[in-house]
Amino acid sequence: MKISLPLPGSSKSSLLFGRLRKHSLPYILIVPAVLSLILFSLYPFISGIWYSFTSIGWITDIAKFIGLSNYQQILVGGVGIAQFFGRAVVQTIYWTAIGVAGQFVLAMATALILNEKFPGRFLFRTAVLVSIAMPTVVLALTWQWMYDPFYGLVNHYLKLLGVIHNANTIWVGSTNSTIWPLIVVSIWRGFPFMSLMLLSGMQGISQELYEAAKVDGANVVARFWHITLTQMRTTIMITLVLNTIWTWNSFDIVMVVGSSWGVVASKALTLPLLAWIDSFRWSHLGRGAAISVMSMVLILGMLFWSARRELRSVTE
Amino acid sequence: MRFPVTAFANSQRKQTGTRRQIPWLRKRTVKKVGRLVLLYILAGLVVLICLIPIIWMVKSSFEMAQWMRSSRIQFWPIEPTLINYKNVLSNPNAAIGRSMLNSLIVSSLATLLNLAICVTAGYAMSRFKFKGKTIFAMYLLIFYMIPSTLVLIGMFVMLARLHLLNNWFGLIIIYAVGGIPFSIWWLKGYFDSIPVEIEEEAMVDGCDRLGALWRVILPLALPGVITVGIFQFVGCWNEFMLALTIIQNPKLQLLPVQIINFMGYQRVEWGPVMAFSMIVAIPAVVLFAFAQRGIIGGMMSGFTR
Repeated sequence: MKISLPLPGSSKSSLLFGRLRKHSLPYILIVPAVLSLILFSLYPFISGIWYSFTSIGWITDIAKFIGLSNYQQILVGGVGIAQFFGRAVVQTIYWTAIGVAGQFVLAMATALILNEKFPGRFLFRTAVLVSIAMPTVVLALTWQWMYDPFYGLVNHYLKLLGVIHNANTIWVGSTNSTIWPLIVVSIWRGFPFMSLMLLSGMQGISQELYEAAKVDGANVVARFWHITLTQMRTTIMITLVLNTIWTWNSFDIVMVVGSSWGVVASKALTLPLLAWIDSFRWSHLGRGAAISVMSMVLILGMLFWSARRELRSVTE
Repeated sequence: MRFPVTAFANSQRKQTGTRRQIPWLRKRTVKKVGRLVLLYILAGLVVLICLIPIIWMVKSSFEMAQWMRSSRIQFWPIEPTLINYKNVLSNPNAAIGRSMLNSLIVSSLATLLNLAICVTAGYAMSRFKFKGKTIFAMYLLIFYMIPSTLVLIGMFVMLARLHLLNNWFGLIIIYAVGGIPFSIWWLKGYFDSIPVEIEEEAMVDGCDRLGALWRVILPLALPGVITVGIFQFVGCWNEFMLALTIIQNPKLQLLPVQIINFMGYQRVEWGPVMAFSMIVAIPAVVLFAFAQRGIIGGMMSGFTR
């Protein structure tokens, strides 16, 4: 009697344990990912929002709640940080809208070429991938060198083409330089990766559709318009939304190409860079966080606004 | 009897066919050649756009200082020299060996940590249905929409309180976590492509689920895991903003920031800076080229889902 008791008991418990384990296994497997995301992404994000309502200036400070004072500083009035902020909003909109549009046109062309079969395709693909692999800093520096007013490539060719008359035009790095030369770099930087994203949607389109359209006598343009673009609608939407957010938030190009360290070119300043400089160079962590929050609200607001129109047109 | 007749008929049809098809064929080849020419022109344009800055960098890194400041612009060195590389490698201010070692350590550890977290999570996302899966998947997408400056500010204060500023440990964790969403999606795609029957067989043979993952699935998914690892590694190797913000001690600094430190604030000598840039870029490019097929394939499966 006493010998037989542990046997069913233990088997029952192991069964129970096995069942528990079977149900909890997926949770055990994702726990490291969930925990690290909560600790090192969600928590800093929420605490960042919290800091935007506090007086924290540098890490040694205590974060005291001061309400909307940081927001008041950046939004009200036209001098100091508020002036920087106002200018940065306009420039970030240019930077993103024109940057993403340019990226999209080039990326679409590249994806269409990548999708074709032709001898030498391998080399073409390698060229695209090499430019994706390059470190952003390295490219930013190379572009800065290409924009060099005296010995740079850009001025040389623009002079040859007769576009500019002043032989030593300063494009970047001075207090008067603008955002436009930086948008060129951003387009250059962003389009190869975007083309791979678009290509993934393009390869999902079945070849039969094209064959059928060919039989019906549709020409290349019609096929591109009615098949490629319509079939890729979702991919294009996702790509555009993601790249808009990435471009809006990215600032290493603006920073490395645009500023010659110490000089803040107020005509070539985007919101994320302003937030970074305010936080880490001018020691206003709280105000920098407020700028970041405003920047996030702006981009998400604009995206939802345009998405709502899109949604309405779909439902009607 | 039937065979020769059809054969004859066929040959005759073929003959007459080709004779009639000649103009049509010509039109078709013209069209084909035209398509190729157009493709090559367009592809050439895109390649030019992609490669001009890179070629300019390569060229500048092999150029003598006096030719850098000349009005002669050409895409190959006027007088090829290795002096810029010598200059960078021997310059104590560049500290290229030390910062390269730093970058190597930080990037490798961050990659390993990232893979350890993401292989299991990607497997769970591929094979199980569980409560909260959708929320988790949503967060993985939303992750990329959170502005990095805001996270950076929160993170900076947090790391300072934990005494992890100016410390590789903090940087390694941030890099590993930064790559999580991408790695999980990508690895999930690889696991999806492996049939479930394989691990069911392994489990019949006496493995438990984790054993099956470790002994059977992982070796099968290894090429994919290596590709994801390379992508993550190159991402860490190239990263600039976080290293610039979190590491202030020049002895601990990583390569991308070290270029800027080396450049200095005064008049820039572009030859050595471009040579330094080449040294930073080459490992990234070589690794990417090595994993080329996997990266493009992975993108394909990753984004369509």
